[in-house]
Amino acid sequence: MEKINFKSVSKIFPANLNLTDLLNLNFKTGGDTKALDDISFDIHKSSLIGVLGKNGAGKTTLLRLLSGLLIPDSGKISIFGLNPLKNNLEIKKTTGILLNQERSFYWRLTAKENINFFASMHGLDKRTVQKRISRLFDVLGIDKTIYEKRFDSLSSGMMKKFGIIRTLIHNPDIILLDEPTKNLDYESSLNFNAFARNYLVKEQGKIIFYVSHELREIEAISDKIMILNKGKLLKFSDTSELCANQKISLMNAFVKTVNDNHNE
Amino acid sequence: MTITMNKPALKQIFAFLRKDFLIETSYKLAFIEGILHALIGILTFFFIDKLFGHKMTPHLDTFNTGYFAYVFLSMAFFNYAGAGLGSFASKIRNEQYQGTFLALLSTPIKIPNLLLSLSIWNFLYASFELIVYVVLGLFLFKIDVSNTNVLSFLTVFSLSIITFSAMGILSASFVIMFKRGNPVAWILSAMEGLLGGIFFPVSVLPPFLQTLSKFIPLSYSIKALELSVYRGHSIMELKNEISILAIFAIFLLPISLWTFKYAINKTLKNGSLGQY
Repeated sequence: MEKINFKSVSKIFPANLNLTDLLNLNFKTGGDTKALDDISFDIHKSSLIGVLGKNGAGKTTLLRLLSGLLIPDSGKISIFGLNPLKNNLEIKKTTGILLNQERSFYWRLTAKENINFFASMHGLDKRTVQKRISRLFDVLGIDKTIYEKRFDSLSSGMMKKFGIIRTLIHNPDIILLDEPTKNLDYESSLNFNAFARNYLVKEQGKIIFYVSHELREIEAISDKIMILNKGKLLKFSDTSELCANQKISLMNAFVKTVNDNHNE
Repeated sequence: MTITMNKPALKQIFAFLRKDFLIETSYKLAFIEGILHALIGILTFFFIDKLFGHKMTPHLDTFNTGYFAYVFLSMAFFNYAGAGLGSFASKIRNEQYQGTFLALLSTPIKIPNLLLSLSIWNFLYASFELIVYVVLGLFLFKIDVSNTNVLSFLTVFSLSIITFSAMGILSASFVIMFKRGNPVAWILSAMEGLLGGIFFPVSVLPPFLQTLSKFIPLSYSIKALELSVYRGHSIMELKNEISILAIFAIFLLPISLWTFKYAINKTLKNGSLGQY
């Protein structure tokens, strides 16, 4: 069963929690924060889904539910037939999540020591790690000397690149990317997006959830678009269909969808 | 919940060990500071003992040793046991502050293995410090340990480490759920000095405090260790203390592991896993 299935999934955060790292969620019900509200969808292999939404729409919550770092309050999630509560470890082997935090690495270690450490958590040996990183170094334009540098001496763009490497190092089937090209130089962004679309999705059959505020980037690479607003899934359709039906750019389609929902 | 030592699990433990070693040795003075801290603590009690003329008080008769030797052994032991008590909570707190805890939990590491991996460096370092204590005690302070009953000493020591590790895991569960404000750590630090018998035998205390100390595993550990080293008491002679420590160990370890798993699941539900 190689698909992801969400059936009426909702996620509510209690009012007494300070959810600073879940991005200013603003849709509140009785003091609690309803981060996702009755979301349903099916996604099959070889898909790149662009996830759009304003700040606090529920994008990060969606990625964390997919990665097993959060458990839903209601509804059912099935990831390749696995249940996040019962098969949490298996889901973590199947998914790779790009955490949007520079501080999610050990700053007193080198980039190499960090990558080796997290690769060991997945049981990978050094040879496999070496093989996988050389390709990613080419894609992301990383010089090998940078690999030996202490993490706190790296630029935020370089930290993001090593975040991408950590996400992909165990060759996950489901890749969850929260603004992967933010802070990346233009060439690295283009290369990585081409790699994601052509190699990871088309050749390897991966599923990628790609959160970004760069609408042109999303329009160029995604097969499908999800538009979230205040925890609700407003739209989930093919990228070409979304733009062609409305004969407008993705930017206009996004604004129109969110505004239509606001006016209802 | 059992710890399965398969190859990936060992790889994870060694990765933590290497990571902690690299981080700790990147702080150049921390190692020397740790040794000096222990030495200064020992010397302080050496001179307090000297001030009172190295006299044996009736409270120490039971243990057949002087004040300095008594406090030296209890401090050496508690320094080691402290690795079990404090390392789980402090390591998790560090990972939370650094922002790496969420990254760790996004990997497929089993909870018992995570606990073992988080604490293993602290236990190794504490073992090294224990060796330093033994060398200082035997060769510098010439403490007489010729009466030691090795079997009963090792039995008490092992049961104590299991008990204190379980208490440390309980403490870590509170850290995961509440971040700051850890009642287990507070109770332990408030009680250990007064009721545990580290700095003086519990018999010095008034009767109601002696009754309270009976609820603290540390008081049984210290008493049994002192008796096994300085009086050479056998397992049979220490059966009360050993039985109570065994009961603490048998009950506290599964309870603490269950509580830790509960704490992780609770934060997976309420979304506070990445908070600090």
